[in-house]
Amino acid sequence: MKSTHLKKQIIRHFSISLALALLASIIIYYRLNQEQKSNDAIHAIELDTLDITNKTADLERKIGEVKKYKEIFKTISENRKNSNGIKINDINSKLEDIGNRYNISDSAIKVSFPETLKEGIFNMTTIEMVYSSVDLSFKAINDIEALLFVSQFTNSLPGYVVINKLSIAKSKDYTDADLVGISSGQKIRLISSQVNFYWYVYKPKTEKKPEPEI
Amino acid sequence: MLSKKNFVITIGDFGAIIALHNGNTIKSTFIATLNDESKVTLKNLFDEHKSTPIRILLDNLDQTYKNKSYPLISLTSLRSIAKREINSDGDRNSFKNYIPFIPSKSSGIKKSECLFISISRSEMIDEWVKILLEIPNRLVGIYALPIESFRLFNILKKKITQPVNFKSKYHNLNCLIIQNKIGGTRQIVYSEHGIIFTRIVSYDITEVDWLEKYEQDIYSTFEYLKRSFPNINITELHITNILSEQILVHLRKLDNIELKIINYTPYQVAQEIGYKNLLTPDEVYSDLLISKVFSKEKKVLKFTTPQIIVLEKLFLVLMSSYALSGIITVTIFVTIVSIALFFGKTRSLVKEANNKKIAATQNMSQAITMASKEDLEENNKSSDLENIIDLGKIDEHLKSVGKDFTKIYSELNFIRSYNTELNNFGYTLPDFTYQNPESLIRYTVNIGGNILNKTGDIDDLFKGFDRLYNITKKSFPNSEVTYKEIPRSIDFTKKYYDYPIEFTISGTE
Repeated sequence: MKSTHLKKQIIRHFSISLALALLASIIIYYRLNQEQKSNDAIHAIELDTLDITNKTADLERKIGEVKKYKEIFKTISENRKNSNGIKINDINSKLEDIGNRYNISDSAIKVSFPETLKEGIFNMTTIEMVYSSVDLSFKAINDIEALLFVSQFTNSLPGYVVINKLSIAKSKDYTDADLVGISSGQKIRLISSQVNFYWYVYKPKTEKKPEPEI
Repeated sequence: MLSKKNFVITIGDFGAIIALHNGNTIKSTFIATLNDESKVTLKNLFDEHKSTPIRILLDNLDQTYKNKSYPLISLTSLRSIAKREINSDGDRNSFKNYIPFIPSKSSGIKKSECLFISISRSEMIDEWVKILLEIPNRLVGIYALPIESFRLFNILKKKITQPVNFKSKYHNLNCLIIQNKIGGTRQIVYSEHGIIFTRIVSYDITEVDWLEKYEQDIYSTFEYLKRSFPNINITELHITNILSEQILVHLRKLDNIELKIINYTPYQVAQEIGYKNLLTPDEVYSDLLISKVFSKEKKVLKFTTPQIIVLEKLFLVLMSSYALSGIITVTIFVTIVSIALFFGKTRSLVKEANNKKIAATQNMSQAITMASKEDLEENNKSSDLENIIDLGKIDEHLKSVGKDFTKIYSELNFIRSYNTELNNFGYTLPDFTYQNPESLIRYTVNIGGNILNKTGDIDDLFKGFDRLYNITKKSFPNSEVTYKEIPRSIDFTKKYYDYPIEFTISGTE
């Protein structure tokens, strides 16, 4: 066997090897590329599935919540659903009006600057809640009228009122002169009261979030 | 490439036999001299079998076998000494090689031995080598017929049961006598490890005294062996003749009890060792028999030339390229198969993922249907749903915070029946935080006033206080009722017509 012949064969076969190696590289690259594409496609489908599953779970949660809160919602008075925020003028007129009804005098009311609540249960999607702390003081003829005044006044306010502190005290006992005065038609008010309550009222949402898809 | 076909060209002083071996078949051509006509014959033959490798088996006269002893050394050391000796030899034109022998430890032999073989390169051999290097076939190497015949002898020894009186006590030396067409008659002496020496003998059966010559040749071989094996007895040299029936007829008449002789014809040997169709019964020579055994058995010793070495290296590189191509082809095949499997697997994975997606979509559809049934999806106004949830949650938390103080106050009506005058009433939610309102929160009610004691007696005062406490506790069973005690340091001699009281009621309902 001639060495030149062998050398030619070697060159030919190494060339074939090289071509095969190139082909193998292309096939392996194709294989890896297809694997990546398939993985991406499967991953995309899985993400879609996860998204649908999450949305379904969210919808089911909402269904559960809505079922529950729909019943509650029916019982909520329109006054509580009011979403006009805190109007000081309305308060003063109501205070005077209801105060006259229960012989209230020396009434004084102090409303703190409204604060918007956004954390915890107040983190709502459709509406916002504003809050004020209110201090009310007044004098009444008797304890019943004082309590009825407080009850009716707070119930007349829009939104929710949570009475934090309430005190009713008789400042002194009736004297003979007081009794004579009462018999002559005078209104002697010996009951003084201090009330502190939290007042929560809805107001329209300032930043509107995009509506969630269902 | 993986075919078992191979050429064995046996070259001797009287010509050459080209044998093409393929399994148990053989196709042979005898060429007496290399001339233009025979070269054409050779070219045509090799052109038909370009990929068949060729081995040369030399059976020429001028072969020298020289045994040298060395101290007991390692095989590596012995090989390096042997190579040095061959390289230092002035004769550059012969084929040279060596067979090292290191005795086993158990043999008790205290020396290493090396058999140096030298085969003269005649013009005819060189011309053959030159021709064989020019053709496309691969020339694997050059081998010596006497050395490679050891395989034939071993096979024969295993197949044929030797007579009992052939068992040697000390030495086990064998003398094989064969007759070849291209090399003449040859004596080859073997020990258990391989060849010791060989020599050409010449017998003319037409001569009257040729049997005596035969005996003399045996004895002269024996005398030569005594140099290496001083204690050897003539009975320890076993003679195996593979000769034609015409010669054996005479040899059987030999009446020498010292000589242990077994006779075979080439045909008988071929039959014994399994090559039933190799030779005809009247075959005279052993050339083809040896060629066949050589082609099939493991080779003993290879001789080479610089050109053959270069060709061997190139051939190795070529084989590597074949192997590389093979590996890459297998890789491609495996990758293609894996792609096919991968596509199948991917299709099922995609189908599975799509099925899950379809199932999820169906679940969602059911949820939407359920939402519609519940009138939660009116006109798809999701904001209405959100508003219901928002307002419902707030109402759930804020609607019932604390306790209805008017109700508590009305429940305190019993106080008047217990001679008590109420002066102040307080209601607080001590734990309430406006940022995080809780519906079930602790409330505290403080009441203060005077308990009246008509008798002024202090015992009646205590009794009245206890009655008031008990009724208060009974009236608010789920609340905790505490009070400011009447001090123990009270003046018991004094009359108390009234006394201030202070109760605290706290609870979560």
